[in-house]
Amino acid sequence: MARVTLDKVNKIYPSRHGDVHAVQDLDLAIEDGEFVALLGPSGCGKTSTLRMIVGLEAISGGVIAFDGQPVNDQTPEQRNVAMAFETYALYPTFTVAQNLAFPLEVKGVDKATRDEKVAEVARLLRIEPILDSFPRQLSGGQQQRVSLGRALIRDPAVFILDEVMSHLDAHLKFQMLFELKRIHQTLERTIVYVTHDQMEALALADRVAVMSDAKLQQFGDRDTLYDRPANTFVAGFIGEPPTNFLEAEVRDDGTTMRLTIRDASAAFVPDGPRAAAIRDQGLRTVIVGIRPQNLHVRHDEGDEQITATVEINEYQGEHSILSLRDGAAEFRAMVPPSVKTGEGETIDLSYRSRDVMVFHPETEVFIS
Amino acid sequence: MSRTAASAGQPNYRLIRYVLLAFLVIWLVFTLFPLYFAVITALKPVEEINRMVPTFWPETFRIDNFSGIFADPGSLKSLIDSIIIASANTALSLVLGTLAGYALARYLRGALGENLAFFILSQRMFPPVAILIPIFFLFDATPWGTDSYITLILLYLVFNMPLATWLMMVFFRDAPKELEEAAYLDGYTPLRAFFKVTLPLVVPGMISVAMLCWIFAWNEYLFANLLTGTTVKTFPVHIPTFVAGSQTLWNFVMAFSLVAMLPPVILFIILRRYMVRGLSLGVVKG
Repeated sequence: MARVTLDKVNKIYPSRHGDVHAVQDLDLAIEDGEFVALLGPSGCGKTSTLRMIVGLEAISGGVIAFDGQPVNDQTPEQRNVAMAFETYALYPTFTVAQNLAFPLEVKGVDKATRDEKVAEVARLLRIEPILDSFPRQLSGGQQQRVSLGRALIRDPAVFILDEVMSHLDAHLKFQMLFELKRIHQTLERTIVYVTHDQMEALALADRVAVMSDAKLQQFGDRDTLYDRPANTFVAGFIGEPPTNFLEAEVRDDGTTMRLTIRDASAAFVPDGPRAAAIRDQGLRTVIVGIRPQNLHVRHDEGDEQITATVEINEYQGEHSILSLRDGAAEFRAMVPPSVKTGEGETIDLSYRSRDVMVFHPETEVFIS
Repeated sequence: MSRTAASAGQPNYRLIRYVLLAFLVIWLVFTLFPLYFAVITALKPVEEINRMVPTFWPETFRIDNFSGIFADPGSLKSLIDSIIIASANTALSLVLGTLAGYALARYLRGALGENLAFFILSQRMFPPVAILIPIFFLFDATPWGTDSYITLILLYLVFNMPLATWLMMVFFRDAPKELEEAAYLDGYTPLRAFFKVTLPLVVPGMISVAMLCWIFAWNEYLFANLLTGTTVKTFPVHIPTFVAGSQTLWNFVMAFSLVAMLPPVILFIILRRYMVRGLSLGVVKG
């Protein structure tokens, strides 16, 4: 097992239309036995990063080290990494058992040990009944488990899982998330999990590295990402439905500060520390971020209130999403399905002043 | 009233179908008539083949023609020569085309690879007659001369290898790269990954490429006639030798041609499943 560290790692793809900088100065330290997710929209450089860790892609700049030892010049085999591919990449001419045994066979492990290990992994992943089938005869979920099994059968320094759940339906995905978490808890291995699905990343990983535009935006556990997002990108990417961002003007009389939404009547009241931070930077305008989950119909002691007009009341089963308008500002709130306020009606919503996130108007960096 | 309105407004599908069927029948008449004429001619006696008004059904059937052609020992030898040359050339084309196609598909993407691949394919489009004389002198200068197996085996590579390379490149592009990458991670060298993992995936493609190469080498007449003919004689060169004085024995010619048609037909029937799959792969993705 290994600590994986990335130090100022860069990936540049040369092309006829100029170089493509796919990964830019990426620093990442993954602890031994940690489950880390690389999260980001497609094209953000997460797959390039992972392919450099594995050794399938040359590193354009920087150092990748396992347990402090640079591995830049090592082959995938020397790095001893196991990877499960998005497309599963099962050898179509081999049976499931042969697929699982393949990595051991290459290493020259004898047949008895191989069979033993295959049986063990098959039990762990519950694929015993399909060991003699060929990959094309399997469902997506089964193929995915076999591909996971082929990675697990080895004793690698680090496991790399590349978008392994993107082809599974919601029900199966839920089940596999649970299994994967269970496997990690049993084996206690370093796992790097690449995904574009924040739900997967937050459910599985100890820490999540959020990437966008070839750069690392933030690396932290789910509470940090959720409550203290580094910038508007992370705040918007983490959480469903996405965070509301509203441009606001700072109205400050020295004791109370109000963030008045531009071209609207509503104003948000930040809590003390936040107001102080805004004062410190001397900002006249800010970007206010408030999560739809943090706008409530229930009013608790000490909550602040805003009023808005409902445009759409979208029923989604366990909750409803209200699309709201106040002047020129549009935002959304997540409310219980019992709220029946319809189009054109006004509604009072409460929020806690500490749930108001404030971002710098130009750099979009989290202020407080 | 309603019926006329319907027939005026909607296309008459039945009529369209009859027209299409009529085209098919015309097409069949054109393609099958030569075959039909070859079969009946092969069964006619010599007296019947040269009539001014040909008979369209033999008056007397001479099945003996098919054994008669093998009275000439050169007949069987020419078939064997053709099999040797076509098979050896196919094997070579396949080995070289597969390796080159793999290299183009995996290691030479981008402009250079595309241009090189197209240059290779363009060899096949070149009119061979243009280089007929230089080729003759070229092989004449070799230690084995023009009239030998190795001459035609090597010469047909000029036509078959570009095709094999191009088609194999297309098949290899369709074979997922992740499989090889998975094999690298599992500890395979690129060479072992190629033979154990990727090559089995393109076997249907290889079979269809082999068929195309084999049939080309089997049928080739121009170069075979010019370069060989004494120690080595392929069957297309042997066919015109069925003469008695100034009389061409069309019945023997046709009988021998029909026999020579059998090997590719049999091969095609056995391998057509792979052939169609392999070719359609190339057509869709190429």
